[in-house]
Amino acid sequence: MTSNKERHKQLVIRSQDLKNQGKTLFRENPEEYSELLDYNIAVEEQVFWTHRGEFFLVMKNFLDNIINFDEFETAFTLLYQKTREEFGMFVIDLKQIEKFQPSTRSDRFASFINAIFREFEEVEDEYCTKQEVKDSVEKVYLKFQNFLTEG
Amino acid sequence: MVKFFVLLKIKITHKKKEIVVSVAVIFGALFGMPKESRPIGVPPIVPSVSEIHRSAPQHFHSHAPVIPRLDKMSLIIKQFDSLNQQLSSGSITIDEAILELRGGEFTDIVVILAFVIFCNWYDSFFGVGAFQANLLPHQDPFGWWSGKYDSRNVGPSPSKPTTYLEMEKPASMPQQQYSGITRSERRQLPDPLGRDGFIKVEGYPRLDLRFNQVEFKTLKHGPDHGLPVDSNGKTPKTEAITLRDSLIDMPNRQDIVWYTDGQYQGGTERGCDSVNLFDPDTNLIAVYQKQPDGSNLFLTTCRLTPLEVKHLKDTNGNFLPERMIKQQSGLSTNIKDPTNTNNDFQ
Repeated sequence: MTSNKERHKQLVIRSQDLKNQGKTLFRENPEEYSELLDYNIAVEEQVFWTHRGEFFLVMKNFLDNIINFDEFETAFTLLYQKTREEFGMFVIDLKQIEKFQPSTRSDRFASFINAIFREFEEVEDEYCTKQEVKDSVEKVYLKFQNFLTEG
Repeated sequence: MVKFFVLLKIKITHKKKEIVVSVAVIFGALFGMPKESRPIGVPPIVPSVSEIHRSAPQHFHSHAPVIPRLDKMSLIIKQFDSLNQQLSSGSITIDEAILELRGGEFTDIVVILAFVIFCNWYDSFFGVGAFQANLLPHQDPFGWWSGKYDSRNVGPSPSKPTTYLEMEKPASMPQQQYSGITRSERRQLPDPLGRDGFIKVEGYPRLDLRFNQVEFKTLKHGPDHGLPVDSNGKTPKTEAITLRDSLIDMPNRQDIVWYTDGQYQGGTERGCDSVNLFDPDTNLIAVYQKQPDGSNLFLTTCRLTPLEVKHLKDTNGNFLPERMIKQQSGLSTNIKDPTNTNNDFQ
C-alpha cells in the first residue's frame, strides 16, 4: 500500500465526522475503515519509534539486572501508556498527519513493543513465565540495538 | 452469636489463623510470663517507714468509668450480635467487622484475640473442612502494620469500596473439589457477596461477569476503561466495581459490535470460543468465554492496537494479541512512501 497524505487526511476527517454523528466508519464503510487502520499502523510505528531510546533504556536495565521484573513491568507500562496516549492524539491531528512520513527502518518496532506489553498479561494469566518475557525482551533489544546507535 | 462466629470463621484464612495463633502466643509470653524470681541470698524488699505510714488516698475520681466485668461481656456479646446481623445482610465485610471491634469500645486486644482463638477452637470442634479457607489476602490480621484497620477508617466510604477480599469457596462446594480447581477456575465461581454482574440484551446471548475475574483484570485493564491509575500505571483493585459497571455498560455504547461467534486467541494453544464485544470508537474489547453449559463468562478486556483491530475485523471476531499475530502470519501492513527518501524518525 502506498502512502497518500490527502487520502489519509480524508479518511481521518470522514471518521471524525461520523463520530460526531454518533456513527463509526467501521459500520458505515468497512473498506475505508480498513484503509484507515493501515495508516494508523504506520502512525503507531512512527510514534513508538520516536520513543525507542526510552524503551531501549528500560529494556537494557532489565537485561543487565539493574531492575527486576516488577520494576521493569512498571517502567515499561508507564512508558507504553504515555506513548499510546501520544499515538491517540496523533491519529486525529491533521497537522501532524500533514508532516507524517512513514518509516522504512523501524521494521515493526511498535509491534514488538506491543507484543512485550501483552506478555505481561500472559504472565499474570500464568501462560508465560517471567523468563520468557526476558527472552523476548532480549530478542527485541538485539534486533533493534543497531538502530539506536545510529540515532 | 454462634452464627456470627461461623460467619467470621468462614472469612478467616488458614494462614491468618496461624499468624493469629502466633500473635496470641507472643502476647501470652509477653504479658503472661511469671515475674522473675528473686535470686537466692538477696534479702526481700521491705517498705520504708515513710511508705508504711503514708496515708491512704482520700480523693477518688468521681467520674471514673467503672464497668463490671459482666457488663462488659454483655456489651461484647451485644456488639457481636450486631456485627453478625450486618455481616449476614452483606452491609459490612469481615474487614469492617474487625475495624468495628478495634475502633469501637473494645480496643482491648484481648477481646479480639479471644474471639479469633474461639474461632480456632470452633474449627477443631467441628472438624477439618467444616470451614472454607482463604479469604483475606494479607498476613496482617489486625492491620497494625498496614494501617488497614486504622480506626480512622471506620465507617462507609464511597471512594473505598470493600473489594479487598479475594476468592471465596461457595458454601455448597466441597473443600476437596475447591482445592482441585485452578486459580483461574476459582475466579469464575459465583461471588458469595453478590457482586457479580450480567448483560442481557435482546437478541444476543447473556453475558456474565464474575466479580473475582473482573477484580483480577482491574490492575492492568482499568486504564483501558479510563479508570484512575496509581504511580505504577495500574488501577487499584478498589475500582473493580467501577470496571464491572463499565463492562456492563458497554452494549449501550454507540455502534457496539457483537461477535457472537468470536474467538480469543483462536488458532493458538490457548484459543477458545467467545462472545466478543468491540467498540470501534475506542478500540475497546471485552471477551466472554463460552462455557460447556452454554453460559458466557467474562475473561478479559483491553484496548486493541490497530493491528489487532485489523485482525479482529478480518477474521470476523478472533481477538489475537499482537505477539501471536506476529508469530502466526508475519502479517505485513507497512505503508511505503515512494517520495520519502529519509524515513527514519528522530
